[in-house]
Amino acid sequence: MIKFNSERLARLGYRGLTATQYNQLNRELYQATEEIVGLKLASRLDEAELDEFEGFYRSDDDDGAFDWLRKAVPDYAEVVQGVVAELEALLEQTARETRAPFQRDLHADLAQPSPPAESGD
Amino acid sequence: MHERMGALVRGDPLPSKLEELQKPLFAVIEELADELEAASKCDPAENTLRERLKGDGSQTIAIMGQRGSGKTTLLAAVTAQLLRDERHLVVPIMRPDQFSETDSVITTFLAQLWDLLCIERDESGASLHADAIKLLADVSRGSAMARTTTGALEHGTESPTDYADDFVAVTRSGVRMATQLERLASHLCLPDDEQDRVRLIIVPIDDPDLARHDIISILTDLQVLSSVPGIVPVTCFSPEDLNGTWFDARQRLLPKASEKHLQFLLARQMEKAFPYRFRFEIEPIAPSQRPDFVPISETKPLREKMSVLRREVEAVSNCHWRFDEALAMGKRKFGLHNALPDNARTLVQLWETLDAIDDAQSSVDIELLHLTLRRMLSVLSEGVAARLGQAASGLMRLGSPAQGSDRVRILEIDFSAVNFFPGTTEPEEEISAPSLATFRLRKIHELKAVDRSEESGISGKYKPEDYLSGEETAALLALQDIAFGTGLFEITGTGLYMSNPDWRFLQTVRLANQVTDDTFLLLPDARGLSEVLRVAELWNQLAILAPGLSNEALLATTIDAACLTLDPDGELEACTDYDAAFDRAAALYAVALEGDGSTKRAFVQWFEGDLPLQWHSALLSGDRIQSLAYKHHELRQQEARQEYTHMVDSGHFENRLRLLLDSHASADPSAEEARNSWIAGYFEVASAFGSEQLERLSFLHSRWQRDSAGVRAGAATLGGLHPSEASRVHAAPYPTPEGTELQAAGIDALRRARRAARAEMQIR
Repeated sequence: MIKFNSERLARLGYRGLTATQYNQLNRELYQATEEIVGLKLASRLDEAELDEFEGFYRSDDDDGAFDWLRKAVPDYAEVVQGVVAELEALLEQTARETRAPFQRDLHADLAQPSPPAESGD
Repeated sequence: MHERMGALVRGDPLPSKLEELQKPLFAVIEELADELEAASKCDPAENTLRERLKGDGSQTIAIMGQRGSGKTTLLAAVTAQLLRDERHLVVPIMRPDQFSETDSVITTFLAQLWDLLCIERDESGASLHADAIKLLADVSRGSAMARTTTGALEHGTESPTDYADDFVAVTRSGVRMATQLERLASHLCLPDDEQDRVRLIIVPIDDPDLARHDIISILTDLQVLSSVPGIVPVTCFSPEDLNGTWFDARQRLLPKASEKHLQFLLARQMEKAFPYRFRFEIEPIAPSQRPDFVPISETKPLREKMSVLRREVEAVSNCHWRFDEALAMGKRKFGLHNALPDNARTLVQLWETLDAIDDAQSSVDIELLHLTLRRMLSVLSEGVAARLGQAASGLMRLGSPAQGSDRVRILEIDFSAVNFFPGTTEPEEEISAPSLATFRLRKIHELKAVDRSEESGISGKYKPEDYLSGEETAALLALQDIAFGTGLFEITGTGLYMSNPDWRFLQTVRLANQVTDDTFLLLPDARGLSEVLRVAELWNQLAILAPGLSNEALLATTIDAACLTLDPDGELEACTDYDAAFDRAAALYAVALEGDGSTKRAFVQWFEGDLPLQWHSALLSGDRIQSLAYKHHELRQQEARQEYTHMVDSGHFENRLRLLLDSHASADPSAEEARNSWIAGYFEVASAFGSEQLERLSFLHSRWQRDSAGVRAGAATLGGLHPSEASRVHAAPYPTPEGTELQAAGIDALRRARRAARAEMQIR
C-alpha cells in the first residue's frame, strides 16, 4: 500500500519542512504518480483497446472501465510500483543535491575556530 | 425657459443641491447687514479711526461650481428672493460677458444704481433720491477721471502746469472715488430714522470669468466695490475657468514669472477677493441623485422620463432595452459610475429632450423618436468626446435611413481609439492536478477603458493617464446602449465589446493536463451599458458557484447564465441538468430570433457560435454531443432564422477549429503546445456539423484518445490513495531556507518528470 505522507518524504531526505510544505510536496508527488502511471498504462493499449476503454466513459461506467483496465493490463500494480520507485529515486537524489551546499556551510561553520574569550581584567 | 423664469420669480423650490445653499447664503447677507448696523452705532470718533485703519477686506459673496452646476440659477433665485423681500437695494444682475469695450464692473454698477434711483419719484415728478443722485454723480465723475489715460491728458492740456495739475487730480481720483462711494453707500444704506433698518446694496454679477475684459481689472473693481461698507457683490463663477483666465492674463503681464510664483499670486488674490467665509460651493450632483433630478417648476424626475422613452422604443422595435435601469444606477458597479451628466444644466437639457416624447399625446412618431435619441447621443457624448480629444460628432455620425427600413438609421461609431476590457484582482491559479478537465474562473473586479495613445498602443502598456474614468467609460457604454440596444440603428464602425477574448482572460481550462485556448465558458457579447453590467454580474455569480460544481454542472450553469442575459431580474443558481439547460436555451433562441436589439442578437450569436464550444469529449460523452449537435442543427433550420443570416457569424465554430489546427500545425515541434491533442476532442461535434476540418482532426484523434485514456487510467488506478496531511514527522514551525529550497527543488523535479513522461508518450 503506497502512502503519500510526510514520513515517506522525510525518509527521502526532505526534513525540516513546515506542515504546509510537506502537504504541497505530497500533493505534487501524488499528481506526478497519477499522471505518469496513466500515461504508461495508456501506452500499453492499442487503438481498438482505447476505443473499448473510452466506450465505458461514453456510458458513464467508471467502475466498468477500471475492471476492464485491470484485465487489459494485468500487471498494472507493478507499473504503479515502478513509477513510484522511479519518482522516489528522483526525489532522493534531488534532496541530496539540494542539501549538499547547506551541509558544506554547516561543516565550514563548525570548523571555524571560536573567538578567544575576553579576559575579565 | 419661460416657465423656469416664472418659477424663479415665484420662488418655487430649487433642486436640492441649490436649495440647501440658499439658507446659509441669506444668513451671511443678514450678518453683513447686522455688522453694518453695529458699525453705524459706534462712537463717531471710533468710526473715523476705523475708516483710517480700513484694510482691503472684501465682502463679495461667491457662488462657485463647475460649468452648468446651477450657479446662475442660484444667483437668479437669490436675487429674486431679495427683490421679493424688498429690504435691500438690489441692482439688476450684471453680466460682464456682455460688456462693451468701455464698460467695467464699477461703471455698470453706477449706471444701474442711477437707473434704480431715478425710477422712484414723488407726485411732482421730482426724484426721491436727489441727494443720493448727486453723490452718485460725484462718484461717476471720479470713476471717469480714474479711467483717463496719460495720453488723453497730454492731448487735453496746453501747458505743463495744467498737465501737472490734471495728472495729480487723475492719479488721486481712484482714492477719492472710493471715499465718494463710501459716502454714497452710507447715504443709501444707513437709515435717517433710528426706527428704520439698515439695508445693503446688493450687486449680483454673473460669470465674471467669461468676460472678454481683463479679469484682473474685473477682480480689482470687485474688490473696490466690496470694500465699501454696505455694498455686497454676489457673484458666481467656475473656479477652474476663473483661475485659467487669471493665469493667462498674469502671464501676459509678467512673462518671466515662474508658474509657482503666479500660483502664489493667484492664491493671494483669490483669498482677498473671495474670503472663505463668503464662499458657497455647489457640489457636482452625486451619481445616485442624478436619476431623480427634477428641473425647477417640474415634478417628474429624469428616471420617469427615461422609462417613457424606453417604453416607446420597445413598442417600436420589439427589443428589451434596459437603458433606464442602467442609467438609474446609484452605486458604483465594476468601477463604472452613473453615466448621466453631473451638472444641472446638462441634466435640464436631457430632461427637456425627453419631455418631447413624454408630451406626445398618442403613440410617438418614429422621426421624433430618432430626434430624441440623436439629442441624447449628443448630450451623453459631450464629456467623453472632450476627454478623447474629439468633437462629439466625431464619435458618432448619423447617416441616412437603412436600406429597406423606414425606422432604422445608419449610425457610424468610431471608438477605435479606446480599448475596453475587464480587470480582475485574482491571480491566475496554477493547475497541477491531473484531470481530464479542470476549470478555474476569476471574478471581474473592474471594467476599464483606455485611450490608446500612439506610444502605449505599441508597447501594450498603459500609463495611468490613459485610463478613462468610471464616468467616461460608462458614458461610452451608454452611447452604445442607445446605438445597439434600441434596434433603431444599423451600426457601422468600431465599438466596444465584452466578448470571447474577455471571457478567455477570466478562465483557465486544462483538458487532459494540456493547456487549452480557454474558450469554453462563454456568455453572449455585451455592448451597451445595461448589457455589460448584466453580463459582468452573471459572470461573477458563475465564478462564485464554479468551485462547488462538477464540470457538467458548470457547463449547464453557464448556459443558464447566458439565458439570464435576456432576463434582467433572474438570479443565477447552480444547475446540474445539462439537457434541461440546453432546452431552456433552445426555447429562448426561438424567442430571440423574433426580436430586435443587441441583447437578443448577441444571444442568437452565442447559441449558434459559442455554445457548441462546450461540446468537447473531455466534458460530455460522444453520444450526448451527437444528440445535442443534431438538435442544434434542427433549431437553426427554422424559418425565423433566415432573416438573421447576415447578422450571425455562422462560420464561428468552423473558423475556430481551423485557427486552432493552424496554430497547432505551426507550433514549434519542441514546444509543449505542439504535443497538445485536446483539439481532437471536438471530433464528434465537427463530425455532426459536417466540418471541413474533420480530416485534420482525425489525425490528432488517436493521440487525444490515448492522452485522455491516460488521465482516466491514472485516476482509476490511483483513485483513493490521496495524500494524507503531515503526520508523525515533526514539521518545522516556520519555513527555513533549507526546507523551502528542498520543497521547491522536489516540486520542480516532479514536474520535469511529468513533462518528460508526456514527451516520451508522443514519441511512441
